[in-house]
Formats: sequence, structure tokens, C-alpha cells
Amino acid sequence: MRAEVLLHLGHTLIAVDKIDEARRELTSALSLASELGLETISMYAENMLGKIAEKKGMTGEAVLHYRSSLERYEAARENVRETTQQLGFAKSLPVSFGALARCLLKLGKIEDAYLVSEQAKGLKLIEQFRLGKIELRKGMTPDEIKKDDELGMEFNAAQQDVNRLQSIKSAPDVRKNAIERLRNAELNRAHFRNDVYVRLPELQTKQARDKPLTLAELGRTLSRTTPNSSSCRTSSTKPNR
Amino acid sequence: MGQFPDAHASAKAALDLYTKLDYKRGIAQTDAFMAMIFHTYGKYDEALRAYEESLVQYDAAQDGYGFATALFSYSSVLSSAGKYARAEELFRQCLINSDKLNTRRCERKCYSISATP
Repeated sequence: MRAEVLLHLGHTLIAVDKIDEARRELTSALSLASELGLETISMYAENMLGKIAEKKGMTGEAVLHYRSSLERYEAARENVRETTQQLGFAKSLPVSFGALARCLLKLGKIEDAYLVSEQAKGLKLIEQFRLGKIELRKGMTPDEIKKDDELGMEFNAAQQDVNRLQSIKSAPDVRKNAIERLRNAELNRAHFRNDVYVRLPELQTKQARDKPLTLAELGRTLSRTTPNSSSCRTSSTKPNR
Repeated sequence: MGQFPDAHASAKAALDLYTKLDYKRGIAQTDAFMAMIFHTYGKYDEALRAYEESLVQYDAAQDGYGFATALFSYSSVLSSAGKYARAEELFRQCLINSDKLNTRRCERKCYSISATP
């Protein structure tokens, strides 16, 4: 709890422009979180320390903090087992990526900034493709897929019914029943999918096979295709002769 | 699933039950849960009121750890609501509480990602 309190205190102090105090508290939070292996707190602390450095005009130091924040993000994500949570967790990512790219641009490191923005885009896309809803269906038996389809169709029909009733004048009872039907359809489908998920532990530990790329792997992939910005531009705009 | 009315109604039912039983820790936990729901939906005034009630109940139940946790959450809501001076004051109080309770033993790698700023 102490590391978490220090983090929130730092956040509050930044809001009231007590920058030096904030820095002190966040450094304590980072140190404690590192000691205890609390990667998420470390990630946020590094991000805020980056913001402080940026405010003070220390762009080079800000870059180091933002990079460290992204490394911590990778480590923290490793600890998030469930795929939907991993996707939700990725929502917090663009802040550090954006800030890092901005600082690199300030330092005139245009290629590095480009690489960072591509990494951000790539990571998001790959996570969405690899960790989408298809995962769950892959673990279903043919009968379960059929059942899932039926529940999906019932949900869509109920949704359409509600939409239709909203656009015309209808009796309150009819609308209430339609909404009730939609809610039941949604719940039935959610319960069914939840049961499948809980019953199939391999879906929960499948990360080794379908593991999203790490930032380092992405970086390697991108640096192979973008050795420098001019060659990248040449290859993409001029046809080979 | 984002169903505020359902969550609120369930919490309210739990609160009524605990009140009938006069189980203070249960009341405190449910108040804190309701406050969390309000916070999630940006209803800061309601969240603050619910946390205040939770703190009173934790105090009555003499649950030091529950009180410390609720105080921390209360401070977070104050910060979200832009009441920074009071939030800062209470966060500092939380640090003193954490020293007293030696909460470091409670910190683990499985820290919840939802409780971050």
C-alpha cells in the first residue's frame, strides 16, 4: 500500500505544481515498487518522472524515464494472465509512447521517434489481431460453436428488436419486454462463454503459443525494414526497375 | 459489464442485510464498494459520502487495515475531484498509517492494475 500511496501522492503533487516534492515521492515509490516487484506501480512512477523531467526541460532524462516505463509495461503485462485484461491493460500504453516520441522529436532524433510510433501502432494491432475474440471459439467443440452461434443470433435479434422499437412509437410494456429479452440474451451468451473459458484452462495459459511480441522483438522487426528513413521512403515510393 | 444500476442495487441489498445484522465490517466494506462504483462512474460527491460512511463503520469495527484502505481510496477520490490540498493531507496521513500497520507485508506482485492513477 505504501508504494501505491506514494504514487498517488506524487500524482496529486504534480497537479498542484509541487514538482520537486512530487519527484521525491515518486522516486520513493519507484524504489519501493522495484524492491517489491510491483511493475505496474513502477511503470506509472517512471511515466510521471518522465513528465516531471520534461516539464523541467530535461528532455534526455525524460526519454530514459519513458523508455523505462515501457520496459516496465512489458514486465507488468507478463503478469496479466487473462487476455481481455491484457487488452484493457494496453489502453494505458499510448501515453508513454506518445510522450517518448515527442521527446525524441525535440531532441531531433526523427528516426527513433518514427520507430517508436511504429512500435506503438504495431503493438496495438498485433494485440488486437492475436488476442481478439477468436481465441475462445478456437477452444470450442463443434456443438459449442453451434450453441455460441445460436446465442449470438438471439442476441442480435433482440438488439434489432430493441432498436426497431426505439425508432417507432410502441407501448411501454412491449419495449420493457424487448429490453428484458436483450438483457437475457446478453447474459446467456456471457455465461456460456464464461463457462467455456473456465472449463478450458489451456485458453488461460495459451500465452506461450500466442504470445504477443515484446517491444524488443518489434523493434528488431522494424529496424530490419527501416534501416534509415530515406531508404524506407525510397523503397515505398519508387518502383524497382 | 458496465451495468451501474444492477451493481448499485446489489450493493444496496447487501448493505440493508448487513445493517439488519448490525455487522459493522460488512457495512463498511459494502459502503466502500458502493463508493468504488460511484468513483468509476465519476459521481465524486456520492463516492466521497459513501467512503465517509465506510470510514465511520471501519472505525466502529476497530478494523485498522480496512480503515487505512478506505482512507486511501477516499483520498484518491478527492484527488480525482480536484480537491488536491485535502487529498495531499490525507495521502500523507495514509503514509503514517501504513508505517503503523506495516502494510509492506501485504504488498505482492499480484497488485491490481485497476487501482492506479
